[in-house]
Amino acid sequence: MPAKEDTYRSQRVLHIVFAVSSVAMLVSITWMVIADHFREWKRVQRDFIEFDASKTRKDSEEAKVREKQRDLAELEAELSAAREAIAAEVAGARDAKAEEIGKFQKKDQALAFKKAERDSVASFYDIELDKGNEQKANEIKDQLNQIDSELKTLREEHEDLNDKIIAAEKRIAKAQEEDSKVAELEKEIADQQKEIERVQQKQWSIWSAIRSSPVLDAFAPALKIEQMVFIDLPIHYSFKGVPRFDRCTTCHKGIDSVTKEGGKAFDTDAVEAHSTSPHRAAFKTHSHPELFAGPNSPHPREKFGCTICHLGQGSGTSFVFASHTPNTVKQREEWMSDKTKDYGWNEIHHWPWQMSKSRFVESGCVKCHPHVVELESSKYGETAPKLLKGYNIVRQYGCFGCHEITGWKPGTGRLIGPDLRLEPQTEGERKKASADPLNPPGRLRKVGPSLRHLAEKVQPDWAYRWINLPKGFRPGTRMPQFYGLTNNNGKLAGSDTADVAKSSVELHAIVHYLYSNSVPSANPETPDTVKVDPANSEQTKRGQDRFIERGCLACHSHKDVSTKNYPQANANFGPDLSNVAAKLKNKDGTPNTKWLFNWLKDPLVYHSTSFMPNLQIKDDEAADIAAWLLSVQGSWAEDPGQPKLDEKVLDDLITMFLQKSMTLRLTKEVLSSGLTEKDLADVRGDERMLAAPMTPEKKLTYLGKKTISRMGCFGCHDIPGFETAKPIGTELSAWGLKARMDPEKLDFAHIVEYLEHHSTDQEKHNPDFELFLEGMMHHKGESFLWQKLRDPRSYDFNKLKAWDDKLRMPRFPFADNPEDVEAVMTFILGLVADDQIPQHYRNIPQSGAKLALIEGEKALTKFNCRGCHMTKMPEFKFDLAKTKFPEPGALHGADFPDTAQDQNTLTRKVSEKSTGQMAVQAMLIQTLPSELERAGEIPSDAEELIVDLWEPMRIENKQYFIGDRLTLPVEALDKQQKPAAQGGQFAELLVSHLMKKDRKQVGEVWAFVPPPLVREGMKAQPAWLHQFLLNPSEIRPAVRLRMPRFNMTSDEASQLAGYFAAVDNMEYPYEHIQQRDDSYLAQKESQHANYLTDGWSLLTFEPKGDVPASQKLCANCHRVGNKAPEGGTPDDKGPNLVLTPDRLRPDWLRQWIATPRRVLPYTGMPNNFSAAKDDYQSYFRGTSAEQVLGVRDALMNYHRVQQSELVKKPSTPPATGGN
Amino acid sequence: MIRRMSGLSICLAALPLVWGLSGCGGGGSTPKKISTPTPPPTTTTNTPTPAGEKPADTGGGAPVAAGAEGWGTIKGQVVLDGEVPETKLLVKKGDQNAKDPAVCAVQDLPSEEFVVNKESKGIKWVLVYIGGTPKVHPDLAKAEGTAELGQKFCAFKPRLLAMRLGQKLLVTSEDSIAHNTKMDSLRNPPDNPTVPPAPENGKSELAPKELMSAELRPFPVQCGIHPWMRANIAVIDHPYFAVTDENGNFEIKQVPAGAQNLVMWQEAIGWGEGKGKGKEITVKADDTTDLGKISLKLP
Repeated sequence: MPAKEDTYRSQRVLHIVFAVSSVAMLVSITWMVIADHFREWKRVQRDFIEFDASKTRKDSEEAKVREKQRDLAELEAELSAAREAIAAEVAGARDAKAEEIGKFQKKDQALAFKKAERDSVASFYDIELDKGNEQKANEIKDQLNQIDSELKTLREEHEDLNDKIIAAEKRIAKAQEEDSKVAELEKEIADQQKEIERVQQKQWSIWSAIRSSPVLDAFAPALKIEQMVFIDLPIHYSFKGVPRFDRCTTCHKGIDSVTKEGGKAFDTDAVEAHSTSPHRAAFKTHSHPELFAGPNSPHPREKFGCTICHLGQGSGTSFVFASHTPNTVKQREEWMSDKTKDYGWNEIHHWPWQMSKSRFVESGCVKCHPHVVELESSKYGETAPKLLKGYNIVRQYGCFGCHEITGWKPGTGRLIGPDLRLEPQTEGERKKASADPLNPPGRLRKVGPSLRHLAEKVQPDWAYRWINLPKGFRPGTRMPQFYGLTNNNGKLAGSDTADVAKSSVELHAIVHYLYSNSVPSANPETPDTVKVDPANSEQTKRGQDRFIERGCLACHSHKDVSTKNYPQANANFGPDLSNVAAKLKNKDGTPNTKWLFNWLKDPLVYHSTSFMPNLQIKDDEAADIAAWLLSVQGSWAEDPGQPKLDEKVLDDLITMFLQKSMTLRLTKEVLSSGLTEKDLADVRGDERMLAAPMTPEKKLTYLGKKTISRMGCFGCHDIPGFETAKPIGTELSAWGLKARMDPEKLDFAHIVEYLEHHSTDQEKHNPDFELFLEGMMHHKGESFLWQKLRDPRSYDFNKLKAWDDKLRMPRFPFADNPEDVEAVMTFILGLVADDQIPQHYRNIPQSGAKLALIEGEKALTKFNCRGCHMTKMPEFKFDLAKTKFPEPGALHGADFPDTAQDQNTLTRKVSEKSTGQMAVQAMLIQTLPSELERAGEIPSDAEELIVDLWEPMRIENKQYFIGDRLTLPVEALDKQQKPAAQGGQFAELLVSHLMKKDRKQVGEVWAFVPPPLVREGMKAQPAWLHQFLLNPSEIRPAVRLRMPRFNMTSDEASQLAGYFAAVDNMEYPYEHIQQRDDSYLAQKESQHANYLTDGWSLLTFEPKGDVPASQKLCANCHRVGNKAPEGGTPDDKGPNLVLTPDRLRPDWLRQWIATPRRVLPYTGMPNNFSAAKDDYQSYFRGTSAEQVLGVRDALMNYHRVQQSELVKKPSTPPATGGN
Repeated sequence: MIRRMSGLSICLAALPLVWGLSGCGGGGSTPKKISTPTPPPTTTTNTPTPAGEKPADTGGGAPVAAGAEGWGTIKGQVVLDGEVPETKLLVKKGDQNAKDPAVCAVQDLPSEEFVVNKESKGIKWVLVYIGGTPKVHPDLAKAEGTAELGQKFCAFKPRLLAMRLGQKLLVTSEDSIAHNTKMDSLRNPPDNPTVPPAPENGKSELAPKELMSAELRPFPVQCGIHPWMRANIAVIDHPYFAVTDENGNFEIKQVPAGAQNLVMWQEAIGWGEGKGKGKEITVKADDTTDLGKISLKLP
């Protein structure tokens, strides 16, 4: 075929195709570039740049206005003129100097020549004299004289010139000084220039736009992604950890910007004022930058990033993909629907670690703070209150009784989360646990009372109804409800009426089991001398008084001591005692006085791990209190009733259990006659109870045992037969991980239907309900937990389950309070068992003060020490501008000279302020004009507060000491913060009670109540404190109640002693008492003969010479050696001084003896040694300060001095043989 | 062009005018608030007081100005309305079980909390003073001297010490055993010094103390070693006060004439008629106003 000119395809078509496809490709590439280039985060960064520039401009403007009023140019002109003048001056001076130096050098030379000339002429004189030419010699002599005078003139001129040079140098130096001042001013101007430049730089300019254009933005972009890489903080994917990349600061650029003072650089006001961007919420600095994210905080951004605490997808660079999670339904709707806000939010489904809702943000703290209690500290205050509340609820309600929360990674000895487990219950378990150092034992006691001796305390019918509905008897109880719930009350789908009968039979069985296994305790019979008679009104009146005074209200409450009269009477560490008369009954219906009397005398006999201490009260006191408690009429708030036992249902239930291991025929046989010998050989376990012959009792016992095993009562109570039983619930150690990673393992059942159709209208209108319901529909673990805590059995709704397959978790009383539920959720969601975070990121001190503080804090809350004792006095915050305090000199006239220094060491830190607000701990003495009726309360019509300072404070340069009496106008007080002490509710209650009863003043009465433990570490020797806590003995005779003996181990006592020492930064566990060193005593002895005995004599005023024997000083109130103070009441007595050498630290003791009020403002101990006068010289020759030291040293060497006294006075000689 | 320019220049000229107008009239300052007079000031002046004469003091109560020029004397007698109660005996003479019997049980020690004369029914140890801040007679302008609180045979003497702010408080003891004086003052810093035993036939003294502020009511003084020992100290910042004698009589001289408030306080009774503000009386100028018998009741 011949070649043709046509092409295969029409060129024209191809051109068109090419053109179209080129254009299309151009369009699509442009589109790609645009879509790729214009990212959301770039918009945010640009907005931030504008915001920052605007703010900086404003700030620098303000700075300019603040600093100088004059125009910058004017200043500069002045400056340059000054500079010129100085330069001219310097130049002139230099010229002058140079000139003078020239002249000086010439003169120098002339002088040198003249000298040389004189020397030569002088030598000529000598030569002529030698030659004998006298006349020539005289001529030369004249010449010499002339030369001398010329020399003199020259010398003068020389010195003149020198002076001139020095003057010139001075001028230069002065000018240079001026110069340096000018240089400073210039620097200031340069700083201003820099500020302006910075503002200009920050602004978005054309150059920035060019730098950020596509392709060019590879080199030096003005907008770029900020990324923090954390290899050692991997994202926890259960089996693997993946390095974390946080890109949050791409948009949150200002998150860690702080001002010079450490506050937020970009707070809400600044952001609202300088930006209209829809994303401006991202510009704010993190809240509390001194604690989170700030460069000087414990959690700086560069070291921690963001997602470790907040979760979310750190590598996301858009609002949606960062996994921001709305906190409320309203917020979600804002983010989703409001298009102008440009969020266009939707939930991302494939990122398991969704960002915590802000209400649960504190759950991120748990993995690095497994001890949790340190999250409230004196340095930072309450940093995670919701988490701490949740932790405390879990601790108080005993969740760990069923659900183990193990913090230790098994077999490694590493703590990776909070450890809340029951302590070993038997000796065998204890031995095993202590043998393995890598698997430490649990440390928590069961939270419920022992049921081992139940028969001697309450009657079965009461026990039945109590287990049925605890809050029917005691509305504030912590015991949860097992029966009458959504899956066994016969009212909802999934539960039929037969459930009610079954519940009743189970209750009968449980009660029967407990009573048939109840063994008598070692409690003795009530002695004959003791009468407990609730009908005796005299005894009950005494009993009520004693109930108030002996400290019961530190832990318990009672309706007869109502908060109307006693606002502090709302303790709930122990149960409310209003109804005990309805509970403690004997079989014949009479009050169970024996049990209550024994319980008050020594609770540990009945319940060996009780938190209730031994009150150390006498028999008659216990009898009186018991009588009163049993005399107050008690009744059920809601009596659930007790139906009779249904034998048929009993058999049904037993059949259900037996069928798991036996045939139906055998089961029937067992039920009628019991297991035969032959059968027993094959049967293991509880079924062995059902041996022939069969009785109803055996059936009940068997069913009771099975039920208790099933329901897990032993998780909270000590029950005979269940000592080694294991917790029945799921382990919660990694529940937070499961909730996010594997929510499909959670059984949601028909919960959505339940919530939608069986919630009350009130519930439904709660906005949080809608939020969590939405989550439930998406099978979120968080929502599961929420409903599980609110109503655990509701997950059985409409499920057809066998009776023993039904859910068992009971409903706790805190479920009624949504805040408590969220607090517990915060804690549980934080349990992620993250074993990939390196230990050095976690706060797990191994030893030292930090560990002591944590362990001590746990022990303090365990035994409720704060129920009686204040650990911090109320803090008064007031505005310094509105107060006027007297000069310190007027208040400190009687003090020793070194008191100021002592005050500083006593507290290690003095609150210091010049302006603004001051916060200081003090005790309220009186309010004016109203009389003080309730200790610690400030009536609403108070105008002025009279307070005693409990810590020193410095205002400007005036220092005030502990014990200073100040007047605070009420208007100066901070309205937001009411002064409240930490702990010591009962002490305040008893103070107000005694003030009314004994008509005394506040200061007097504080000596009769549990003392504040402020600065206890400074005061008490830790070894003594340890001993005392294990067995408290009497210290102060005046106190109205004895400190109880708590049921604590030696370790726990050590923890408490260490805590107080750590709080005050004192030596622990032993203190070196210098005053006992031989070298110290020898030195003192060399300065003052008989040093110790003289110091001792000041205590007792032993007769010396004609000083009468009736004189005494310390021995007037304190027992010293064998001298007891006579007469008077215990109210006026001080502690026995034999306690002093082991109990008190020497430096504290010195300050105490010198001026007691400066250590403890309310004390009755007087200032025995006057700083102004030196008394008692006949006993101890020296100044008052020396006498104080002498007394202190004698006390620290108490036993040594006593020994020497004994030796001095020989014992009476043996009677001679007589008739 | 010129028209436009003039239009422009008019606008330009108008601008400063507008600015000026807006500037004036703004920023109206609120007049300075007159502060309400506060309860009695704590500063005081000294008056020369002969020993024994106790100047009046001010406690709670509104400030009262002296009416007409003139000064008068007021006197009266405070009597008990009701039964005279039994006096308690704190320490019996010779009781060896008492504390420090060698000094404290030398004589019978009756309680001085409520001392009433059996015949005249006059109440001793009642503090009577003019309430508020009365004008002070120029002769009595300065407070001078010391007020002494003594201790003998384990009892404070006097039971009620009324002193003027500006005087020095001197605590002494004639007992040869140690005492301490716990002074629970309210506005003044509390103090609790030990008084050393007095030498033979002598007196032991503490350093005289200057008080900082007047007290709203007499404050208690107690010995911790011998708790039955009580006294009260009243600190008043003007000289018009007196303490009644055994028959309940009192006299206050050179009181500003006119309407005054008379405040009374006794340890067991508390405040008298009119409470802390006092009852209204009229003082005659250059004359003695006899208030007659003023009766008080036990609560």
